[in-house]
Amino acid sequence: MTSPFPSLVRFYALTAYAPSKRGAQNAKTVGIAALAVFVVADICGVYGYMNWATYTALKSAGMQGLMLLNATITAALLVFVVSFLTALSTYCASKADTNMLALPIKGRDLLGAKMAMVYLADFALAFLLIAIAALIYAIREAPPIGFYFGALLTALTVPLIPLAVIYLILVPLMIATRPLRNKNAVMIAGGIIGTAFALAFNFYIQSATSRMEDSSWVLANFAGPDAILARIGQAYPPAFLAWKSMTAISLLGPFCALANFALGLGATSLVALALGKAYAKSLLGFGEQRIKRVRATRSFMVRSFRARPALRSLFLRELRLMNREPVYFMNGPFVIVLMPLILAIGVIIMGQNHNAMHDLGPFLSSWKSQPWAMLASAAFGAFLGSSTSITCTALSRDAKALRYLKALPLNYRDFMLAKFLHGLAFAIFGSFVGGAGCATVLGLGLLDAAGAFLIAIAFSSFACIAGLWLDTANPRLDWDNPIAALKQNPNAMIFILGVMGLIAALGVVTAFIPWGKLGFFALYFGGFGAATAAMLAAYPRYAQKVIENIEV
Amino acid sequence: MISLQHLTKTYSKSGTKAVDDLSLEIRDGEIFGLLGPNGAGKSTTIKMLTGVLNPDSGNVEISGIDMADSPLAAKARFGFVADDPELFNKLRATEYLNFIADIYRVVDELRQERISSLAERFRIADVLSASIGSFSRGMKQKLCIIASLLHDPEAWILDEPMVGLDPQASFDLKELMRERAKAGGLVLFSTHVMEVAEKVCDRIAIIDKGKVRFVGSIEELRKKDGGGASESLESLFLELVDDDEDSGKKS
Repeated sequence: MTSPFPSLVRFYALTAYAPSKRGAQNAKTVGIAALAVFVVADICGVYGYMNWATYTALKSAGMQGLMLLNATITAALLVFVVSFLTALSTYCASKADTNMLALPIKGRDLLGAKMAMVYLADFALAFLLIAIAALIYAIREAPPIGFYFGALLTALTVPLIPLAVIYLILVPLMIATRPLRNKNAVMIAGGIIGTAFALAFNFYIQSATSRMEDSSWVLANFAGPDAILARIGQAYPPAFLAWKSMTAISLLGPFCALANFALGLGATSLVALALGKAYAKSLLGFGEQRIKRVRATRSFMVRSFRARPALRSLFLRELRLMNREPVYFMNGPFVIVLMPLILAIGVIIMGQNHNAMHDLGPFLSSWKSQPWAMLASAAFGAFLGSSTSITCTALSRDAKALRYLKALPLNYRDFMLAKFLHGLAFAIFGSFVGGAGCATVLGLGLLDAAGAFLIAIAFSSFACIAGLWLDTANPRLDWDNPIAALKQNPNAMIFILGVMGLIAALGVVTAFIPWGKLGFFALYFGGFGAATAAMLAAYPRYAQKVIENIEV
Repeated sequence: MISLQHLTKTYSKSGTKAVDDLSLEIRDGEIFGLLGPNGAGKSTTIKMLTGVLNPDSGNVEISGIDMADSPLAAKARFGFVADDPELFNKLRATEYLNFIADIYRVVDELRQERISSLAERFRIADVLSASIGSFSRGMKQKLCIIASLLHDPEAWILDEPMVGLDPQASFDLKELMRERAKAGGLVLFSTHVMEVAEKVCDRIAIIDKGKVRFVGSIEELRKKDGGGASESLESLFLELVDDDEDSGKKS
C-alpha cells in the first residue's frame, strides 16, 4: 500500500492556500500581478538596504560574514512568528480535518502532512529573506560556488526547527485544553501563548545580537568573533551552522549545510512521529460546541429582539463575524496588539544597552524640535491602523454568504459602508496605539502626539477605502478554508506591502522637504483626508455595479 | 404573483447556458414545485428570481414589481430559504434573526411575536441565545425558515428546504406551506424529492437543460403522459426527462 502522505500534503495545500484557477486572462489580473511585483520589490529593497548597511558596518571590522548570521536569525524569527499563526489557524480549520479521522490514515501522516503544508509558506518567506542577504553578500564578496549551495540549503532549513518547536507547543496545548470544548477560546489562548514564545525568542536573540552591527563595539569588546559566536551558538545553534555553511571554506561548509538540514529534518520528523497519535486524538470533537439553552420567556424575547437601523446591524454583523473567527482575528485586528509588543522588546533591549540610549538621547532631542519625531509617530500609527486586512478582504470573507445576502433587500451601499466603518474603527484604534504609543516613547508633547494621531487616522482611512476598492475589484470568492479568504488572499499581501511601501516612500520624500510641523500636518492630514473623501464618494456606484454582476 | 418572462442565462466564466428562454407564472394562493435533475437549471432560475443573478435577457416580476427596475422593493416582497444553511456560524441565533429583521425593517413587537411563535413551532425556542455554530444542520435549516418569514412575505421561496429536516420538522414545514397558500400567499420551492412535490404542490414545473418541459398539476402530467392515476410522479418525471433526452439525441 502506498503512503497517503503526498496526497495529504497536496490536499491540505490546496484547501489552505486555494490557488486561484484563473490565469492572467485580462488586464485587471495583469495589473494586480504587476502591483504585487512592485510592492514585493519595494519591500525587498527596504530589507536589502538594511542588509547592505549591516554589511558595510561589519566590513570595517572585517566581520562582514556576520551579516549572514544576522539574516539567518532574522529569517528564523520572522518565520517562527508567521508560521505559528499559520499552524494555529490551520490546526483544525474545517470539517475536512476531523473527517480525515474516518479514513485509514495514521496520525503521523496527518501531522506530517499538516507540517509540510505550513512549511511551504514558511519556505517561501525564508527563501526571500535569505536570498536578499545572500545576493548582497555575493555582490560584495564574490564567494565561491559552495556559498550558493549553502545559502539554498539554509533557506530550506531555516523553517524546519521553528516548525518542530511550534507543533511541540501546539499539540500538547490542544490536548490539554480539550476538556474546555471551546475551539475559539483554545485558538485565542494558543495565539497568546505563541505570541509570548515569539516575544521571548525575540528578546533572547536580540539580547544576544543587539550590538553586533556596531563594529567598533565588536572590536573593542571581543578580540575576535568567537565570543559573539559562542553566544549565538548557545542561543540558536542552527543559525550558527547556517552561517558556517555559507562562509566556511573547503568541505566544512557543505558539511555544516547538510548537518543543519539533517538536524531540522530530524527534528520535524521526530515531532511528527512522536506526536502523530496525540495530534489525531486532539482533532476528535475539535469543533464540538455545547448548545446553550435558555427558556424563551416574554422578557427574554423583549430583551433579545429589538430593531436597529440597518447600517448598525450590518456593522455589528461585520464585527462579530470577523472577531469571533480566530483565523480572522489573529491575522487581522490582533496585529494591532502584536506589533507594538514585538517593537517594545527592541525598545527594552535598547534601554538595557546604556551606550545606545546615551547616543540616542541628543539625537532624539534634536528630532523633537523638528517635524521628524511627530512624523515617525504618525508613520507607526498609520502602519498599525492599516495592518488589520479588514477592508482589503471584506468581500472575499463574505463569499460563502453572498448568494444569500444578495437575495435580501439589502442596500449594497450600506453593506459595503459597514465594512468600511469596521475597518475604520480598528484603524482609529491602531492609529491611537501606534501614534500615541510611539509619541510616548519618543517623549513628544500633547500637540505633537495629537498631530501624529490625526495624520495616522487620515492615512489609515485612506488605506481602508483603498483596500475596499482593491477587494471589490478582485474578490477571492472560491475558497474552502477561511484562511484562504484572508491570510492567503493576494489582496491582503498586496495591500499590506503597498501600505509599507507607501509609508517608506513618503519617508524618503519627506526627508527632502524643508517644511515645519504645520506644513507636514496640512499636507498629510489634508491630502489623505481629501483622497479618502474622493474615493469614498466614488465607491458606492462602483460597488453596486460589481456586486450586482457577481455570479455566485 | 411571480412572473418569469423569457429568462436566459449563460454563465460568463464557464460559458454554460444554464437557463434558456424560460417563462413561468406562479399564482397567489398556490404551492408551486420546481423539479428537475441535477444541473437542470433550477438553482439558476431561483437565483434570477431572487435577484442574486442578473438574467442575460428576460425579466422577473414579484407582485408586479420588476426586479431589474426596483430590486429592493421586489426583494422585500418575498422570503428566501437558501439551500445551504451553513452561513453565519459565528453569530448567535438572536443576532442572526435580529439582523434579518433589521434588513426587512420589522418593528419590535412584530419580530418578537413572530420569532416566538415560529421558534415554538419548530422547537428551537430554548436555543435562540446559542451560537449557530453549535446547531445541527436541521436546526440551522429551521432557523433559516424562521428568518425568511419574519416580515410575513407575500411570496415564500425555498431552495431544497427539506434537506436535513427531521420527519416532524418536515411535516411542520409542509403544514406551514399549506397555511400560507391558504391565506393567499405564494409558495415556490425546488426539490429532488418527488414524494414531497406529489403531496404538497398544487402545480409543478419540470425543468431540464434550462428549459421548461412541463407546467401544470400532477393530474395534468398524468393525463399528458397517458399514465394511470396510480402511476407515481417519480416514474412520470423519469419518463418525461428520458423522452426529452431521446428527442434531443434524435434532433
